[in-house]
Amino acid sequence: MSNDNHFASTKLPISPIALLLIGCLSMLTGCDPILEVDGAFFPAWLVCMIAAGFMLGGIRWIVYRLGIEPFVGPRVTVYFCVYLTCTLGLWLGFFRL
Amino acid sequence: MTSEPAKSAPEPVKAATPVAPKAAVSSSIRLKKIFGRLFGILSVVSAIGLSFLTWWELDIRPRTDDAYLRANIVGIAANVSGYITELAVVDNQKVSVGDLLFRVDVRPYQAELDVALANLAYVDLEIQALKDAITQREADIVNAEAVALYNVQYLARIEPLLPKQFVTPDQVDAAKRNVKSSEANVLQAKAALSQAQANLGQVGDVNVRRARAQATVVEKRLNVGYCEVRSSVNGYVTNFNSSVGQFAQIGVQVFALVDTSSWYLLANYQETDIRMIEPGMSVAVYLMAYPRVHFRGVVQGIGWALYDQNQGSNGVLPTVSPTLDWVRLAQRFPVRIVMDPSQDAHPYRMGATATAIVESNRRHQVPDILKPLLPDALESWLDTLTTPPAPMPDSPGR
Repeated sequence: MSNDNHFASTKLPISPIALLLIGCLSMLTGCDPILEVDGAFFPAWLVCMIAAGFMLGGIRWIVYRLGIEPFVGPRVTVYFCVYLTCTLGLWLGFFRL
Repeated sequence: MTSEPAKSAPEPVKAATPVAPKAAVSSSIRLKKIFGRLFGILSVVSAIGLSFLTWWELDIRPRTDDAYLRANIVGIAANVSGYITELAVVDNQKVSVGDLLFRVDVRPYQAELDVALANLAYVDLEIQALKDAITQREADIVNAEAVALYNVQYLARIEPLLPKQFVTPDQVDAAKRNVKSSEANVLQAKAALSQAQANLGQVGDVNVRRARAQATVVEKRLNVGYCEVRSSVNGYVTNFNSSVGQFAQIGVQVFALVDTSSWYLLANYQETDIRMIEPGMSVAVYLMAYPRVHFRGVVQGIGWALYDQNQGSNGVLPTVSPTLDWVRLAQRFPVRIVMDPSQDAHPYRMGATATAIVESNRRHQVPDILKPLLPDALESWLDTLTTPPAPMPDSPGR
């Protein structure tokens, strides 16, 4: 428990489902390749990267709660791959157009 | 990293089920191990697979955010100089072909037209006078010829009388002189006729004097017409900053019209994307001005030339930039995309920022290096991501 204590007794400040919803809602602004935020335009890939960061947080929390984190293998590689999957999955899913 | 699971795995199990039987604990750990391994492997595989799909997607459907909506601009300038006396439009107004835009003070040009018309009437009178002169010259010839004929006959009558001395030699000489003189008079009268005919200026069916006067009338009438400046296109008035009283110079633009009959997108594509683009391909267009609205266009052509900023010349010698960056930026070539007609709900505006995605219908070739790695089924599935190549319509851009 000593290494992973930061997850043990606390919950995420926002539930992962809420985070996923926020991420998805931010995607659903018409799936334009450029998203407008108060007059500034952001490329879709950037938004995907940010949303994927939240998704990664949620997924890691789930993985930890399930207790399978110690068995996933090299964590940096695996979580980087999860992040990549989330980013590219969001992009391909919402912005392939 | 790999040694961590062995260290930390038993701890949560101990904490959660301190009194559980040993068999149940090992079964739970085994299950978690399986799921953990599966999760790790799947995440790596999916990352590799999605990376490949993304690369594929970006390659077969080249896109750019560096695109701008364009229309043709018609600079409006007066064809005559003068003060603007009336402005019939305001800035941003919609105009159609033939609509009055503004008027230039017509009075000087109307006066010039009146002068030209009067000159034409005067030329007509002149021509009549010149025709009368010709008739007079013709009469002169008849008269001169009659005198010449009489003189010849008179000489013929008196010349045989000289040997019999009925006439003096002087009378014969005078008659001969008269013959010569009257012949000269005939020639002179004929020359005068020719001169009068030339003065009339008749060439075939056309009288040059009248044609010149008529051309002047046409020119002056055109100038009067030019005082009303009308629209030559359907479009919108733009950059209109004039008012009544401004002096309009010939050929100097007063404002501009945006020709709305044809809209196009200039999408600057990297040179690496150009190979996937051909005229006739369909393009999905997204305008920043209208989120969630999708527009369509067709590739008309790809730019053939760019200005080379690294090369130049100074006098007779070339100048070459001495720097060569490690990272070379791809050049961008403008691809002209003809847009679908503008809709009233979402009117186009020149200069609007856009994103263009070419629906390249070129069949994508799986790179040779990947072929041994991909099963045939996956290759054929990837092929279905692209539509089969369709015959390209002839395009002026090709």
